[in-house]
Amino acid sequence: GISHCPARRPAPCEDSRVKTPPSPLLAGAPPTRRHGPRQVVPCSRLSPSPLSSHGAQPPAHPVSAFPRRRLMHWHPNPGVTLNTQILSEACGCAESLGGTKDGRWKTSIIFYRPMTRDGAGGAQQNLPPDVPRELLGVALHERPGLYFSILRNQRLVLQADAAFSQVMEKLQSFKARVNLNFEGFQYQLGDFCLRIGKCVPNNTETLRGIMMEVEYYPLSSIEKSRAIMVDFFDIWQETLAKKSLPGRFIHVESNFAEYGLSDHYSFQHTAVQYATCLQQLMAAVRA
Amino acid sequence: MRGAGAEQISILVRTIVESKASSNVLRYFYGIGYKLDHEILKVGFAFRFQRGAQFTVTVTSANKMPKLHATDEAVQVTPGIQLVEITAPAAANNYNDVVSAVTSFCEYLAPLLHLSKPGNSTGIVPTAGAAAASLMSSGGAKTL
Repeated sequence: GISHCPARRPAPCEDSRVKTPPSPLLAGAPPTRRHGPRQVVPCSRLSPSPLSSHGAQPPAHPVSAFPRRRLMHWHPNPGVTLNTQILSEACGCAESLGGTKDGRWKTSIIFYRPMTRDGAGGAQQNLPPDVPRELLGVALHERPGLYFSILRNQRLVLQADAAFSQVMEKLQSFKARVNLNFEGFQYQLGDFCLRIGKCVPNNTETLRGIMMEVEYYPLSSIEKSRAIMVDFFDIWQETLAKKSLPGRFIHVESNFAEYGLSDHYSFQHTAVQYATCLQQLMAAVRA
Repeated sequence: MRGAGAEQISILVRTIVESKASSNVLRYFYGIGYKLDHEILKVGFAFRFQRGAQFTVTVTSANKMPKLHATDEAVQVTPGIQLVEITAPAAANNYNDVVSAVTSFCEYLAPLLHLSKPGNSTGIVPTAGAAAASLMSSGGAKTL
């Protein structure tokens, strides 16, 4: 069963494998979200240790590092079609673990294809070799003023203002072909935030995939948060397994180093994870 | 402005989209198939201020380079002649206000500028010295 944390405000219990204390709450993570429910999910696996730094709030670091996030996509069993019941069951799980629903979220991915003489749908095989077959635009739900563009074949992620999509439109060298929305509800669970959602093309209800995001507020180091994320995921899988759903959530690692990204988590990391997640969803649907 | 065609110079209206971008933006454009066409070095000054519209005035000389990025070997395209550009952004709801602000600012600046053709510099306008002194002595009190 899940044991209760010592009676203080919920905080990450220190795993004995994690040597360094959690980083201070970083700029960008709303402080109010630390006051989650008393049942902190990871405690059942982690050995409680004296919670030392829970008095004064250390000053926020003025660095561009953000809480670590991990994306997982739903991989259905062979022959099983996707349906929204899985979504409701997953949301039910979040609530049964003590998560409080905290509103909706939506992230969008836009597929661009190069314009050829025949238009954007034209003969793609006649493209010059240095023109990529596609590029992705990503608009993250918590930063509507930002826009990310990913060239997967070159492992390049560009961060720009939202106006950059207008630049692309004016250039007319690439045209937006498909607009996919990842949307759903988010839940606060102690120092974690869960976003559970479906992948649907814009303006339709056709279910293309189901995925979830887990955000861990105290740490932005990918290496240092790995153990905690894995532990959380184990608990999540155990809880979900009781529902006997025809499939499972899988996390596929994105190769951040190939994209030139550091160990400190950022929005660029999230954009890259969405690109990876989408690739996985498409492969799962095709299989 | 004095010089042939000075009265006929009209304000150019263009649509502009601006975006900040991460430092790999040039690599991104190469990555989507764009190729370097040419390179110009612009050297000069930029002034920004508010006078009925958000103005940017730049005074620049354009320079060519014999080799890519060779800024130390840059050569002026029009020696002795500089480009003065006055720009102000406008939206549909303030377009007319911006137009009149730009027009009146250009009239304000006119005594200082003399149109030249490349290769045929007219030099500094004889009245420029006096005009500049007059503008500076009245300080910021002069209304446009």
